[in-house]
Amino acid sequence: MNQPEVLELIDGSEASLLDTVDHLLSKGVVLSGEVVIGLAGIDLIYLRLSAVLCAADRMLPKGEREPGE
Amino acid sequence: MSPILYLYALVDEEPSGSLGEGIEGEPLRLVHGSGGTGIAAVAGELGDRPRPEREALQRQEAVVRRLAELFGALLPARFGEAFADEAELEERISSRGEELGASLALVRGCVQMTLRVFGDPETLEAEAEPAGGPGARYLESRRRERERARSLPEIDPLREALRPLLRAERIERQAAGRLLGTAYHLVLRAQTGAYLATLEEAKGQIGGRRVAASGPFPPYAFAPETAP
Repeated sequence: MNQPEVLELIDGSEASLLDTVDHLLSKGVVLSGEVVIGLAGIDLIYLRLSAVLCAADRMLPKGEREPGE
Repeated sequence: MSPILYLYALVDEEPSGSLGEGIEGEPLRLVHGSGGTGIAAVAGELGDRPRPEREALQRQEAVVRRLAELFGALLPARFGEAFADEAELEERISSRGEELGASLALVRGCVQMTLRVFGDPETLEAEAEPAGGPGARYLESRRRERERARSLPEIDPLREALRPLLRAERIERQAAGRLLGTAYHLVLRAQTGAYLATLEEAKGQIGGRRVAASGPFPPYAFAPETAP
């Protein structure tokens, strides 16, 4: 296939980092973390957290989003 | 620390070949949902969730791209989606069976093409003030904002030319900058050549704006956000 002048057609096997980030992070990312709350050098509470970070509009109820979103 | 079941994608059929390995070389397997939905997850066991770093993102993209070749329909998962065990994953699949089934039907046989549009925005014609009371005016202004966020009138001639080749379309307009927005197109895998040829023919109809096309990709933009 000839590469059209106006297009930057990226070969399927070499997706750009932009596309990779768009694909995998635009819908948010699930992260894990650990928090230890202590007092006077003594660990009192240990929390293991999982969180979804994403744009607020991604969390709208389904009825308020477009199909496929 | 207990291992986790890391989710790559959702499918509704058996693979045409070996599932191979995941981002850390772990063997991948199918986890079927209960309740006869026919939907299954492609997952692998990891020690912990991967961090969202460049190498991990690129490895996951490569794994999903390879998996997409093994299934007629595949919904890629969000980065970092993991479950404590198979029971938890099965329950989540089953609880959303209908929605996931519809999404899989939509993307079957298709790939995603991505168009990024650069250039000057179209000058907006002044719209009439919304009528009604304060509440009605607020809702109408919100509706207009949302409609604009999902439109790219600057490339309407291009979209019209491509329309016969599209199974679905999703548009995200940028709020500012030279990137006006992105159009995600769901196209039959066999028609990507026709899609690109049509794009090339219609490229002169968008007033000097520039379009950067990439793909074909697995249908990331057409998978539910919180899959499963």
